[in-house]
Amino acid sequence: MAAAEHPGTPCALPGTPLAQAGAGLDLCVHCGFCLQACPTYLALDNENDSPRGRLVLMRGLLAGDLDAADDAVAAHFDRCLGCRGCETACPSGVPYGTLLEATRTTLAASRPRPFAARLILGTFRHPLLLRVALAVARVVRGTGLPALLARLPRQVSFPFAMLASTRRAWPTAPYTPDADATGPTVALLTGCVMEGLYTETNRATERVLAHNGYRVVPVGGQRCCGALHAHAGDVESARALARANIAAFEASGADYVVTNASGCGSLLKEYEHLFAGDETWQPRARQVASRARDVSELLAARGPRRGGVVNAVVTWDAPCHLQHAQRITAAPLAVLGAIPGLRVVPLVDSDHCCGSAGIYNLVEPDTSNRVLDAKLARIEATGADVVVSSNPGCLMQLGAGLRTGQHRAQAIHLVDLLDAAYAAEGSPHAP
Amino acid sequence: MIPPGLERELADVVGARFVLTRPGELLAYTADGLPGYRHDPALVVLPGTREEAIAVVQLLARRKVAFVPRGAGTGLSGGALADGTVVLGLNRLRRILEIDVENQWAVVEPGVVNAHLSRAVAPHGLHYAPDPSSQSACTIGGNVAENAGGPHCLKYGVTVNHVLALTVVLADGTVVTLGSTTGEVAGYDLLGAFVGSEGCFGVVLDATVRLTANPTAVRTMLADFPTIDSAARATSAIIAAGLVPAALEMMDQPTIRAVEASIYAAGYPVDAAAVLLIELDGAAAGLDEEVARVAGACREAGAREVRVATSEADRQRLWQGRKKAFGAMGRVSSHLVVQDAVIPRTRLPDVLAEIGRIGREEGVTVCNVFHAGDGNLHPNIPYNGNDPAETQRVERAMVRIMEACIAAGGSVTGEHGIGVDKLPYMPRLFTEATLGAMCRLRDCFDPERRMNPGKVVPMRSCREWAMAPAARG
Amino acid sequence: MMTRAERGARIIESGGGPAVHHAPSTERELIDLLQGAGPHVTFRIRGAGTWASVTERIRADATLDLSRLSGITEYVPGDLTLTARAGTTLADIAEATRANGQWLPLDPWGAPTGTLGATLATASTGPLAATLGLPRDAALGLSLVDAAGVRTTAGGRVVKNVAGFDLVRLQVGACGTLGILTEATVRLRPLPAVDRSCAIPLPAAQSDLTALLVSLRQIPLSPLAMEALNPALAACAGLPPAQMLLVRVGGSHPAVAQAVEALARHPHTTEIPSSAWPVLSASEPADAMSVRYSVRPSQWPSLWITVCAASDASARVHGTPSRGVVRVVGPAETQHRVQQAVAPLGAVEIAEPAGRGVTGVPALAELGRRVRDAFDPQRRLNPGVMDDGRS
Repeated sequence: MAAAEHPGTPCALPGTPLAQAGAGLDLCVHCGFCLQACPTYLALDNENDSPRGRLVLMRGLLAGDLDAADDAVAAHFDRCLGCRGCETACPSGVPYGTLLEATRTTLAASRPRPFAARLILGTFRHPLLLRVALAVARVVRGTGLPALLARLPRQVSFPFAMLASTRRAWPTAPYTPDADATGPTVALLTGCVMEGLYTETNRATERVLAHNGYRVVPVGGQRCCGALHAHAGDVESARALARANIAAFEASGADYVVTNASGCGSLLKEYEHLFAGDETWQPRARQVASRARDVSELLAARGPRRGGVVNAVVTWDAPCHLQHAQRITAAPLAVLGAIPGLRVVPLVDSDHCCGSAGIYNLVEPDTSNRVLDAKLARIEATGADVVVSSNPGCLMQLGAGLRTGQHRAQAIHLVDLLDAAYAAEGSPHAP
Repeated sequence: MIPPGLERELADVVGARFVLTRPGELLAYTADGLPGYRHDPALVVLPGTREEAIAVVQLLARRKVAFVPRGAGTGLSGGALADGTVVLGLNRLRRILEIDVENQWAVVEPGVVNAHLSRAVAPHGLHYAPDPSSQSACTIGGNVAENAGGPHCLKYGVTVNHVLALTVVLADGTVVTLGSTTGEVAGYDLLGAFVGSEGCFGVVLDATVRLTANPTAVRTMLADFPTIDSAARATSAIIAAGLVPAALEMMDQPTIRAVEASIYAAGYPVDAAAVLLIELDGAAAGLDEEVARVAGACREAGAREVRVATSEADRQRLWQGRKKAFGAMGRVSSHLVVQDAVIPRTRLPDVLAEIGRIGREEGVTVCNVFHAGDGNLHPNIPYNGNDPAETQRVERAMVRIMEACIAAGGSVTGEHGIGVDKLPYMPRLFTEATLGAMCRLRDCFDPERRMNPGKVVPMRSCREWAMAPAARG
Repeated sequence: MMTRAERGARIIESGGGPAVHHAPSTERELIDLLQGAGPHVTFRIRGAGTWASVTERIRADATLDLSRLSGITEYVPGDLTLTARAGTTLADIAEATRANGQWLPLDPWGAPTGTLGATLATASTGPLAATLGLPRDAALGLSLVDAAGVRTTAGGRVVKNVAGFDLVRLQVGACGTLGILTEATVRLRPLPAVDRSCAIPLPAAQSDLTALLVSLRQIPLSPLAMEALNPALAACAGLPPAQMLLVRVGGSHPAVAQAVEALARHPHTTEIPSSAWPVLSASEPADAMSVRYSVRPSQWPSLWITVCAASDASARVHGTPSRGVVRVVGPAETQHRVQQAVAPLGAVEIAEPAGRGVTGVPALAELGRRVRDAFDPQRRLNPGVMDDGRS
């Protein structure tokens, strides 16, 4: 497309996804407004690890000035978190996320993905493997061993700390939600990590939705949403997973498809783009995407209903895929506003990524750690007891960071906090 | 150009990770905020501390290597480009060293982002007044080099009015402090001469800048005009009436539409030929009467509607649209020329009419978004750079616009600097004798002419060698 | 290049002071004069002679009197800019601009017959500088004739300009040593609609003084000027001979009324006519010797108290708290005593006219010397001024 639009520009990578997405590069005026919105630029100080720098590299690849097989070039794309913080800073609307995925897909053709990435993506693609892996993880977590190992130096302990941090921080006494037999129906995308490791948060999600007048309907046959694959440039796997999910949610007949994991939600809303040019699947994808909502959106639409008192100082760390990809900023704050007793302290740079970014913290641990440290310092400065977020990756990253860094605060899902407030009606709750 | 072994020696100072030499990695440093110009540096070095920065400059002095200081690379005149020489990136020096609330100043490293300084002092009811539109990205060091302006400079003055002292390292490695925290110094005003020297006089290691108390009251207005001429006449009338707005900005229809299509959409009327964004501030008493006078001047000139921002959020939205307008033009076309010129404020109506006529005659779209209160124009032209005929028309239009501004008694840059972009116009503004005086001043700071060579003053004026073929092309 | 001794001999031959007095009435005449004189002939540059102390001590072969090079050459009220020849007096500019509700807010100490050229060349400031800016901020463009008699310009006629290196700021305050100022374009400001002033007695105790200054920061309108006067100067302004703080507020009627009301809450505050300000400036004798000291504004009370205590009753002492400045006008003995007393405070000390270029920092002195060498290698213009002595 780029080549077709600009016959004057020679294209070194004809027919590749990057060439197809290349017209998006023309929107960049090189103003640099994205630089300070980019966690990897701030962590690494090298403009090649910034959005503007990566766009220049993409141009270089297309023009043939750079070699698609050059690992040194690819490293700058590997190091991108894909948080899309640059998109909400970009005045000219460069579709960075699309360009990044196109570049990764294009580069993947000429260089093998690292082993760790292949292992993780492969596991998430196979339901059985994934179920076994998550079950093992739960058993290990139950032994209390990860919490112990989390005290080792971060290089060693981080995966254990992540696992340990998924244990529910605030067990709540179950309450019976007020049901509304006429309310809209919702189908919950249970997600793989959410259902595997944050099982209680999924149940809490169902409770708070019901308490706000939604009818939660069961959905069979749903799979991993495919976000990890899409972001890593493995579009084929992402499409296969998406097809399964589209079929499952169509069958559910629910008014809304709701997610409590912003990473999943953002891909769900963009399913349509996965099937560009596919006459059968694109319309179906568009239909499902149009019904997709983040849980905070549905709650905010209903007020949400006020809960009991929770005495805590909290700060909100916006997941990138909620703020930058889905452009949702007000709804989570409305949810926090429904909890009496909370003191909400603003978090400086809450719109910056925490360094989790899907499987990024596992495949790029060095950069991820630098990004995380910046985030932890900001959190420390708020004096908050609780960091609220709403994506499993972020919660594990923040939870592990707080744990290994001996910080006082704990990371909690937005829904869990609201659930605690509903449970506390009549009896004030303190963490 | 780069002597053998320099890369290793630099790596010994700053660490190998912060010395870039691979062609792929240098690509990101070939342009600043005006990507129409691309120069390939031979090497990029990114010191992480003041001591490293000094050591790097001293090493480059020993090896007689030319270099170009660079902040965030948001400049709009091609000032931070290095042609076969070294880029000295200062983005890692980004600590705020001291905030003196009582005396209202701060000491910052050159890589501190402009908006971050204001954010840091906000709890004390203070801010850093110069507010270039790129303030969310540009650095104080870069602001000092360019003597950066911004919308609120109309009332509060440009960067030089807010710098009390600078510690700089000169090209030969000497570290010297210019100015003083009290604002008084014996001898020549070397601080005043240094600010705006576009990286030719030295590298800023730290800057002591004045902080300004937030005004007690602020009123932000948006006036909507059916013609550009009526907006221009309103501007001239407001200034002539002795009103001193904190800011007085104009945007024309193509700009308004680009902004409204972006994520920074501010609710500007897309059917207006032009809008004025006017801010008044100061004591609360009497401010509303001034608002009424400004609104009256706008209506008298033909404004369709004048509205006052209803809340701080509304005000921020109006400003965000203005500040991100230049970036938003990226969506109009694949290429963009950004211009900067100043004219006497009484000449606004006729020069804007002339610019409109030039645009029509050359068949190009001029997007005007500028500091009307200062007479500081930014006529920008989005175009398709892959079309040689269109490119030629754009270049011709630009030259004609600049000539019109010079003929009106103006200058070719109010805040972006000369860099490489405006070099060809320098002989139009200044005699050879004056350009020679500028070169003599530069030689006082950098006798070997190793800092940012080829910028600001055409080479032949320095009686060195004939100017390189015009950079534009 | 002539040695210092040779030049000295020449001055002695001609009778110890400049024998020749030139008063060119056009820039062309000035250029011819400089180009026609031998390369070693030195010049003492003089405006209206209002600030005799600035020039009388310079030893040179000839005096260049620029007072005839006068007149406003362009004034566009709508642009708030004015261009005038160097010898134009500040009084003439004030008169021309007042008619349009505008002013050039440069109010150096001394008679209003002082010239624009001298004000800019010496960067002389007055009470308004704290709010309305220094001479370097008012100057937009300059025409100059350099030491070799070549005409150059700096800046332009527009209010915002970054074309090329900033020769305007280099020249303002250079005391004519880098070129002879022939014409300047300055930025004007609208005259405030209402302009009122108050006098507040200054408390003697440092803590009370500090408390007063802090409370004055709270008034809703930032004052146009705030100047502390010692008893000798207060008397010049027609006030009781005591330490006084003069506060001038300007702006719209409601804002000024509110500010004056706030000022009046301080005990013993009296309103005075704003016409007292020019009277005060003009009272400074032409042969006055002055030194100014500056510290961080937060240290101003201790500087003020120290200087006042060390200076005798006849000395004229005034200060601008927000700039951290205290200026002492008086004989050498007074200056010496004040200098001794102030030394422990670590104040920046500027002997007027704008320093002799002497700084204790070698790297700065070296830069200053290079600049002088670049613009006046023969030291023809105001020799000895702004020089570190190593000519």
